[in-house]
Parts: sequence; C-alpha cells; structure tokens
Amino acid sequence: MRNLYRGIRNVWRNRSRTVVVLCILALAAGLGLVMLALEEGVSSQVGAMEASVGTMIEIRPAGVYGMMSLGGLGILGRDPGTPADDPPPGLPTAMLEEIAGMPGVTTVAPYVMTIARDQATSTAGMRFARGRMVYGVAPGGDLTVLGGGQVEVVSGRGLEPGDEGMPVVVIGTAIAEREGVGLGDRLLIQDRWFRIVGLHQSALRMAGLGIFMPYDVALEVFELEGLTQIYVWADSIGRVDALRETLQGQYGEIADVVAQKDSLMGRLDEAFSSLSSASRLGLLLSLLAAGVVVFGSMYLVVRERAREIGILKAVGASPRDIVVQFGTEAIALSLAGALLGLALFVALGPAVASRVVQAAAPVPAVPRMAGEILGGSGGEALSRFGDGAFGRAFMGGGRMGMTVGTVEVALTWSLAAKAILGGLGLGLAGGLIPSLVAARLKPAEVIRRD
Amino acid sequence: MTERVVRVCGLAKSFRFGGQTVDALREVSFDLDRATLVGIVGTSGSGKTTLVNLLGGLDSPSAGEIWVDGIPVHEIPESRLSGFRREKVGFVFQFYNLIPNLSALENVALPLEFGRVPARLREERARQCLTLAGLPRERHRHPPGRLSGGEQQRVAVARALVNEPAIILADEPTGNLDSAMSRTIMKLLFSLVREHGRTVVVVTHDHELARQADRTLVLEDGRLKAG
Repeated sequence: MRNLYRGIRNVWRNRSRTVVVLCILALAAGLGLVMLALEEGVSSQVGAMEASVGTMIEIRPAGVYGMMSLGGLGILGRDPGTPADDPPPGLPTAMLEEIAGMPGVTTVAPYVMTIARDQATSTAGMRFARGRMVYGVAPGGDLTVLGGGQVEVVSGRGLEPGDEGMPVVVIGTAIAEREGVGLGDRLLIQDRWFRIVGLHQSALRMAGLGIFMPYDVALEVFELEGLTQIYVWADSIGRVDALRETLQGQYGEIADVVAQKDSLMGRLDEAFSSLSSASRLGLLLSLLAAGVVVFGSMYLVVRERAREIGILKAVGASPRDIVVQFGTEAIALSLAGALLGLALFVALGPAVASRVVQAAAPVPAVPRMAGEILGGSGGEALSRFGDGAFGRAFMGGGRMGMTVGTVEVALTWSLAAKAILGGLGLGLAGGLIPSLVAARLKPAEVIRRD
Repeated sequence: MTERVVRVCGLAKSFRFGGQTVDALREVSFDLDRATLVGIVGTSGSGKTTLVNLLGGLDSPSAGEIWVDGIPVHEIPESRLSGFRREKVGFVFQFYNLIPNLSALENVALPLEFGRVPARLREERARQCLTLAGLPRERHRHPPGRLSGGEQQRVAVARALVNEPAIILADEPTGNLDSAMSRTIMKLLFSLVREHGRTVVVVTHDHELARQADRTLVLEDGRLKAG
C-alpha cells in the first residue's frame, strides 16, 4: 500500500512538468473522447437504421423493376430484350401464405401498382385518355405510394381488416377535387363502382393522385396475373441474409429477392465512412500521443531518479516494489489526465464534435445521398425527392439525412468508464517499460551517480 | 568469546570498461567479529567502495565467497538480494542519500516498509532510531531539505539501524561534513558498536578515525595489504 501511496505522491514532485504533462494528456484524452463519442454516435445511428429498415426484403417478378403495367409510360424498366407487348408476370398470391409460414418472418405485405385509364375532356372540349395511379395494399397495412412514401388519411378512414374483396377506395384529395367527388361518394374505376371511404393527402403531387384499394380487388378489377411486389420483414437483422437466401432458393425462377439492408446499408456505410474514419484516426492519434507522453514522462522520471531507485533497492526494495511504485505513478498521471480530459470533453466536446462532423461529413451532402438511396427503390428519376417526404417512414431515409448532421456527443456512464479504463490502460502501457527499466537498475552503479 | 559476523574468502571483482577488463578486487580474504568498528582505508581506486558494495549485496562478486551472519551472499541470486539487504545490512552513504519528498521519519521507516512491518510498529521503531541517532523529536517530520548536513547524516544512520542489521556499512560517512560534525557522527558510530553491539564497517580517508577503529583493512590496487 505504501508503494501505491508513494507512487501517487510522487506525481506532484516536479510540479511544472506534471502540469505540462497533464495539460497534454487532458487534451489528448478530451479529443479521444470526442472521437469515441462520435464513433459511438455513428454506430448507434447505423444500428438504429439497421433496426428500422434493415429487416425488410423486397420480392418482385424476375427481370422487372418499377411498376409492372407502366412500361408503356416509360417509367419502369424491364430487362433488355423483353418484348414490350409481353404482359409482365406477377407474383402469385399463394406466396403470401407460404412466406408467412417461414421461420423468422414477422410480416408479409402484398403490393400492387397499376394505372386505371379513363376518358376525360379537356377545357378545349377535346377527349383524351388519362391515367390514375392505383395501389393495391393489404387492408390494415400502410398506405404507401410509389417509391415508398406514406400518405396521411385526412378524412374518413384508411383500408381496414374486413375490407378484403370489398369495392372500397381511399383517394387523394387532388383526385377528389378533379373528379368532383367526396367522402361517401361513388367512383367509377375500370367499369366498376367503388365507395370512397377515406381521403388522403401527401406533400407529393404524384402521391395525391393515388387511389388505394384492397390488393385482391385490384388484382380482380385489373385482371392482373399476380402481385407487383411482396414485402417481407424478418424478425432480426441477423436473420435477413438467411431468409433472403431461402426466398431466392424457393422463388428464384420467378422472382428477384433484394434485401433492403444490402442496398441501403451499403450506401449508408459510404455516407458514414468518412466520419467514422476520421473519428477512428483521431482516436488512434490521441491514444498514441497520450501513450508517448506518459512513456516519455515516466522514462524521464526514471532517468532523473535513478539514484533514488538505487537507494530504495539498497534499503530493501524488491524489483516488484519498484515496478509497483513507478507503475502507480504512471497510472495516477494517466488517470488524472483522463479525468481532466473528461472535464474538457464536457466543456468543449459538442463544439469540437460539430466541427469534426462538418469537416468529415458535410451535412448537405448526406440528404442527397439519402435521396439516391431511397430513389433506388422507385427508380433513379425519383432520387430528387429523397431527402424529405420520400419514404420517411417506409425506409427512414429522411431521418438518416438529418441524424448525420446531429450525431450526439454526450457524456455517458459508458464513456466515462471507457475514459477511466483508457487512463488505466494507458498508464499501464506507458509506464510498464520505464518501471521495468527502473526495477533492473543496479544499485551499486546508480548510487554513486551525480 | 568473539563471534564472527563476516567471512570473505578469495574475493575478486572485475569490471569491463571499453573492451578491457579491470580488476577492482583481487584475492581478498578476511574475517570480521561482531561488535567491532572496522575501518577500510586506501587510495582512490583501491577498491574500498567495491568491497563495501559486495559485502552489502549491492553487487555480485566475480569470484570468491562472502558470508554475512552465516548467509552465503555470493550464492544469492540478484532477484533475492533485496531481501538480504533489507534484513542483514544497513547503509550510510557520503551524501546521505535520503528520499527528498519523504520526512525524516518516513525515510528511516523505509526498510521496515519494504519488510511489510505494520505501520504502527514501523513508526515506533523509526522514532526510537532517530532518537538514538540524536535527531530531536520536533525534527522527525521534517523533509531532508529542511535538515542540516549533520542532521541528514543522523537520519541516514537511523535508517541503517532500523532493521537491526548484522552489519552497518558506511561509505565515507563524514566525507561531506565539517570536522565538528564529523566527530559527532563518528562518536555516534562508535556508540553503536560499544553500547549497542553493532558491527560497523567504515570506508574512510580519515587516518584519525582509522586509528580509533578496532581494526583497519588497508587496500591497495584491489589487494588487501594489511588488516
């Protein structure tokens, strides 16, 4: 115990040097903590993104991307060489039940997208064909438009369980205005009358023109061979790859299976990588600087006190006593530096972190990136919408753009514990060699040194 | 009947300097009795300090045997020499060699501390030794920097005494003191022998002191010429 006490007491023997060393250590520790906090913040954001969007798997007919029956409008794509007149294949509804029974599947959502064509008259009296976007969704599920954006029901209700097979629709307020209909009215679609049970609204004009109906009704009314897409959610991110492989194995001949995390998280990694690299490099440099300072300081101490070490050994100190005393001194020094670094982090951490984030991952660039990611689901043409309304809930993309700019750096118990453990580790690592050198000094040689 | 406390047989020590071997001690043999004050004299470079370092286990011999209080010092591995020094040897150096940031009391208690002696016993024993060495009680808590040279050497003597060693090795203990203080310290060393039965080995250039010693060993070019 006395060795420990002496070690701690010795820290303050050369006050001016100790103050300088502590200042350097505090700066290094404070910077290291900022980097650690940033790294944790980024990991936490990525984890949250993975948790919210990473478990979704999209199944679509093989060779088709975009909307099946919109090929003529040039919005969607099909594999090159596919005759334009060939009706695109759909996904059989029987798949829904099969997939729902697979282990690890929490939700299966059918999806149909198509266009209802009717005749309209222009203000100049000319008749022309016009299209209305129709979405077939599972009653009780989200009302999601092309590209993944959700709409908000502003009047009436959405589609609810029990609406299966029923001629009910939820239409956009833009269509209601255009057609001169309202809640409770009837609407003619493909020569069938539907009752309007709800009105929805969206910031996107295209979404405002959408009509939602039960997917089974959409299949029947539009005489479609199958579903446009099936969305499957796995119960955990760890299960996604296995589930995707199972689905690909089972339906590979008729469908393409894409895990959202593969495309989205891959891009997310790119978005975060510069920030993550900067924080890791900063952390490494901080640790290195602190280690060199502790080592250099302790080595100097051992050289200065060589004669004293000889005296201690002459009066009976064992090599172990010497290692404990000088090791304690190194650890006390490092711990004091770590604690000062914590204080510095509390005072200046958020400001420094903000600068690092701005330098390493400019905020305006990130929503653009997010838009591209989201647009990938609905076609490159839609990428310009990506930063905001597009897929906010469906894919969490809008949120991602904002969170990069606001990675939180706050002092947590975990961070404080890491700082203290880091101080201990640094003291041990930086003080070990000088302490061993001290323990090996030969008393007869050093006592007579001036 | 006298009791032998040190036995040295055929002791040799050589060092290597710049590729050359220098013989610091050659074929040195002698015995020392308990409760005697032994002076070691000789010119600079004659091997006095080397001999004291070997006796105290601060260095290992190149050849020969050293027995202190029945312990074969030459056979003790370096890793265990600290235990021997703590229990059997007390050192007094020319420049006092006290730890500057410890009080006089803490300096004296150091050997007991390394021997894992309980704190209360350590302090009690250290106080006794400081009193015996003649340091006033009110000075016990002073750091070395606030003590005179003579007082610091008293603290060093108390530290050498505190573990009740078999021998006290003093390497020119008065070399840094004025003549009055030198006489006081020598009187203290003599009293340790006469009144407390200690064995004290003193390296000195002081012929007067050597004359007063119970026995004088004279070294010349690493060889024992007389004693």
